[in-house]
Amino acid sequence: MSWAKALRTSTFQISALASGVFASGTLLLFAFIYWQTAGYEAARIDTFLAHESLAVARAPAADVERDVRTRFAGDLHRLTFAAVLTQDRHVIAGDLISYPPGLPVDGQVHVVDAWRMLAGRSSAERVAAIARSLPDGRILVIGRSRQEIAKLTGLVGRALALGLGPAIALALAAGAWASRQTLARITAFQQALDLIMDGSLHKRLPVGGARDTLDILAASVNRTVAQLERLMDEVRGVGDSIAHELRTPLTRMRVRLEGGQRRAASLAELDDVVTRALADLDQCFATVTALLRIGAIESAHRRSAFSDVSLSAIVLEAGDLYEPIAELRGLRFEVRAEAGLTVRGDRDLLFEAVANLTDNAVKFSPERGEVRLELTHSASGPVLRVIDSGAGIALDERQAVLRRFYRSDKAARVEGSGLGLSLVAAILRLHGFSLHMLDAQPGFIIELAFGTQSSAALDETPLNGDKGHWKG
Amino acid sequence: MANLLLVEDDTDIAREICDDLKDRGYNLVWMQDGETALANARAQPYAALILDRMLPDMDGLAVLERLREENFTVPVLVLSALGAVDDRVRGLKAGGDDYLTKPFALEELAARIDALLRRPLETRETVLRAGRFELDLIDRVARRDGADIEILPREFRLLEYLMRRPGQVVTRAMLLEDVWHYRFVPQTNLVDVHLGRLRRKIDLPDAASMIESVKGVGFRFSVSGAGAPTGDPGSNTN
Repeated sequence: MSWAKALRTSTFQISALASGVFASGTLLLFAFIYWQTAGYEAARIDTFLAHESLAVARAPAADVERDVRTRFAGDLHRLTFAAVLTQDRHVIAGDLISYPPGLPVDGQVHVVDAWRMLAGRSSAERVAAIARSLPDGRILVIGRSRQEIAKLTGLVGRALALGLGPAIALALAAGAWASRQTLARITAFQQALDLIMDGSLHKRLPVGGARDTLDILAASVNRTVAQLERLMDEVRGVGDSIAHELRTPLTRMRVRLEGGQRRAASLAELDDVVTRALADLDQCFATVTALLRIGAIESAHRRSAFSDVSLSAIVLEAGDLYEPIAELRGLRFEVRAEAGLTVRGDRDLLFEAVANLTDNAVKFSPERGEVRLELTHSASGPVLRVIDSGAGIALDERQAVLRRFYRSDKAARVEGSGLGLSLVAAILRLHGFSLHMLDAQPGFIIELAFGTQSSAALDETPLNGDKGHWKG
Repeated sequence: MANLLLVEDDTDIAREICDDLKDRGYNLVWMQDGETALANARAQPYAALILDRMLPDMDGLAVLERLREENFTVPVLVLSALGAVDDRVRGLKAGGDDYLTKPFALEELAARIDALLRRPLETRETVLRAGRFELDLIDRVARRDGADIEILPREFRLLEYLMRRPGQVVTRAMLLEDVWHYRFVPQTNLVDVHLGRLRRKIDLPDAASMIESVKGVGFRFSVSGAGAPTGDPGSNTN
């Protein structure tokens, strides 16, 4: 990972911005300090000059020249100077070479350029000076170099250069480092995601212990991937089931066709083989169709199209539809439905569910057995019980039969796609109704409870409930 | 001989359909894509269209919708690998007269085409007759020689559907979908059981059944089992 890349990250850009703000703030602070200090120093000089000029002026005229020569002799740095000049501004005494141009004789402090002798050489410098008329007409000039303020400016500038530069550099370096760290984690995320995208669904994004923003994001992504992995496993499981379920009729068909090809002595015999092979093929198609149907129901968002559906009518109709088959199988078939029981739902799907359960009950009951459909009202809503005298479903198999493709061993000799109960489960789940399996001893009861649940509960409840009790 | 237009992009399926329907006496024209089919359907007078949904250039339903917008009244059978209930409803809404889900038996397709071309008897009579057997559409009862035969409403609907299509092969799926309006495929031979019971009620003990089984396909209402003819219910069978 390159530095150039790190410098383009938002982390670095944020730290650069922060450095900029910090630098501006420091500059302002220094400017303020300078402004305050310089102002104070200038005011101090002004007061000093006014005070000194008054002190000299008040002295007797004869003492002025001496006073001018000696007053600031103690100033080693020769910052302060004084001079006395004639009325027409010729220097009489003091260390000025000439009268500073532009300095009015008004007893006020002005900043002007002045020529004076310093270390035996005449030199010009910026000074604060005051000029005052003495009572005898001569002019007194007292001034002080502004060198100190210039020094202060230099000092502040150097402090800025020494302090601010490294501070900014440090901030930028820290920013760049943080960016590199972030970038390293993002790159790790990217690599993990690439692997996940390529099919390694067991991979997860690295999560540090810091619980920072990136960790929260990574944890969130990890949960999504885990869910994805679970779904993929489910799909794979279904895929395996499909392959297994189709393999049986396909193998049968293959054996039949091969045998027919070798042994069929007449066209009629061959025709018989083909007819049976077609039946096998139809079973394959039925399986695929039922599976697609379950998929369609499971992914359906048809609840908006629900209407009030008469359960009583559905149960009576299912009874009416299967009664001849029950009769043919010599079953005692009884349908009892309380009138006027309705639910919100999709009529076609609910009928399909009830018809499927009835179909199963009729199919799995032994000859001369008994099948009953009972629709009653309970405190929590309508309840339908489909009771048969078949072998029932063993406790440990009850969850499995609701899953796609599962068919109990005992049912292996009964025709069917093996998807009937899965289909019922899917329909009930769409509606938020629940299914229970109970022992009738002898026989078996499947109970549908049409008590509506909230859609939130429906969405969160997984299909794999517990112990033969399934809630949609 | 009726001319049919088949719009299907799969060559093998198309060839089988063409061969089968030609054997049954139809003239087949085969097109592989939607645009060509549209142009052709507008130009030629066809008796019916067989339209696959998944065409290389467009959804077959789009072809159908455009034709219907142009007041194209020829019956259309939609073929599709999309078998969800909603797909079927969409197909019929788009103007399809029938919707057949792949995979299908060629016999099923032939029966459906036959049904599309031979519109059911729209008799003004309120009684359908077959020999000495009659079905009273007002009183909803069946009679033989004037005597009422007790049949259930579900059986009555089956019988009415069959009698309106005398001599025509009707498949189990057609009965489930068109008569009982079921959208699911029962796992048991429901239709056969119900028709078996109906036969025992309406047929003469020693005569052939009025409801013939057609092996591997479905059923056909036949007058031969109805007893000595006193009228001809099948006169309008073009």
